[in-house]
Amino acid sequence: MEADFGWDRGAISLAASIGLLVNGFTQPFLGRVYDRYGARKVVIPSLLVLGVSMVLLMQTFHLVFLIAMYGIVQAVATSGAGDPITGAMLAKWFRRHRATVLGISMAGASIGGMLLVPFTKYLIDATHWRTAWVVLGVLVLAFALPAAFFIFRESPDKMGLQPDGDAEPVREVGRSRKASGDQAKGPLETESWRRALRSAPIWQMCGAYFVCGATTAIMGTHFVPYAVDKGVTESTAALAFGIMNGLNIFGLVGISLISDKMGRKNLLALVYATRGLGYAALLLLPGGWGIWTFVGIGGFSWWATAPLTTSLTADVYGLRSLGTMNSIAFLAHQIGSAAAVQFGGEMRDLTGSYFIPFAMVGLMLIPAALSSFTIREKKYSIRYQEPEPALAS
Amino acid sequence: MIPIITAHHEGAIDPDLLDAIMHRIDTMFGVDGWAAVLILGALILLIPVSLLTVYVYYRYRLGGRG
Repeated sequence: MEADFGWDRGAISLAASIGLLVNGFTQPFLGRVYDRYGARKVVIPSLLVLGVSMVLLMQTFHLVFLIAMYGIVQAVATSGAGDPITGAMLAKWFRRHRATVLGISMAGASIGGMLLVPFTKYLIDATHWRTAWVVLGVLVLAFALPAAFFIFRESPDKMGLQPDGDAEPVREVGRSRKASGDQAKGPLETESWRRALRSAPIWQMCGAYFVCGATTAIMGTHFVPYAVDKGVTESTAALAFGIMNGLNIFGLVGISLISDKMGRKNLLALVYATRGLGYAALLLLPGGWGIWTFVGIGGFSWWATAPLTTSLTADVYGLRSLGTMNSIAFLAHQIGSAAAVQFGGEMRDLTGSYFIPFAMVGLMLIPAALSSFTIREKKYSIRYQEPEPALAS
Repeated sequence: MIPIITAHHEGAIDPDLLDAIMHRIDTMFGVDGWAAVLILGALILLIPVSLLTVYVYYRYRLGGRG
């Protein structure tokens, strides 16, 4: 596109930045639509719009068209088919294995991204960017859309089934399971996202998620120039990043699996603290040692916050407003991402180094870990509630 | 313009990082452009096709039992 239209990278980045913001800010509205009308009515039209808009991007003739189609239409469609909504739907199908399933789902997204990015780049090199848009759009329309149409079902209760594939209702309190028709209710469970916003846990999670967005996005954008500043080659930096994404898949699924056995908030705090250690190693150890230690430590924590945050939100606030609550947390994440990327670039220009911006976002991981650690999970999570005596059989 | 692989959520990948990753892949595997497109394309298609196959299999099994 740069070559065909004579645009500089800033012009294309503008469309990408607008897309990021539109994606973040429309997410809560689409989350609300999901809570009211269900996943099929949000995800399927969103995939249709996403696929068609990708195909139409082959017709790009002006920057305004690119911004409208990529920065607005596609960003809204991506919100409708994104993690906050599919995660909220999956949370209805699984209670005991909730985090594990969310972790597997997000690992799928991670693997898909790892394949799709080089595929698209090779395709552009082999053909043309216009062809690449058509191929990506057709992939969405021919595979993602039918998969959603045929497989997506709103919730097990609408099909006369139980979560986790159980034959009868099962109530779990702490680590014990009891067969019971009575379902416990958490003290903060609500249909109203406004009421939920008056409680502490959502703010604790949003605050930590803001830091999560900041600490991952700044690295995604500025990792290579930072590595080069430290005397590491671009190629080695890319290898390090690839390995980090591989480790990330194990961390994502492993930590999710453990959290279904032993609770969420302590692990969430541990993930933030671990990432903080990775940042400390990156900044304090010399050259390649810092990079590789960061990759080893940070890789396991890169995506693990997402399934933990979603499942903890579901456990605390219930499922009826989960689409909106997830989306609000996602908005905090995206604001953190956008702010940190901009901040990193500005500070690099100002100081000639990434040390200060990386150190500042890295230090924010301490309050993020504390914020997660102080969530009163045993008081609010449905996993630790007993049904009211009058309802118990 | 290409979906990010380094964050949890939607965004665009840093072009410098992408170039460096591509260079690394070229160095490690040494495949030419079209071969890479076909190999990666097949792997990408495998995911939804596998999902749909598993879905059809289980639906058939459950339908048969019911």
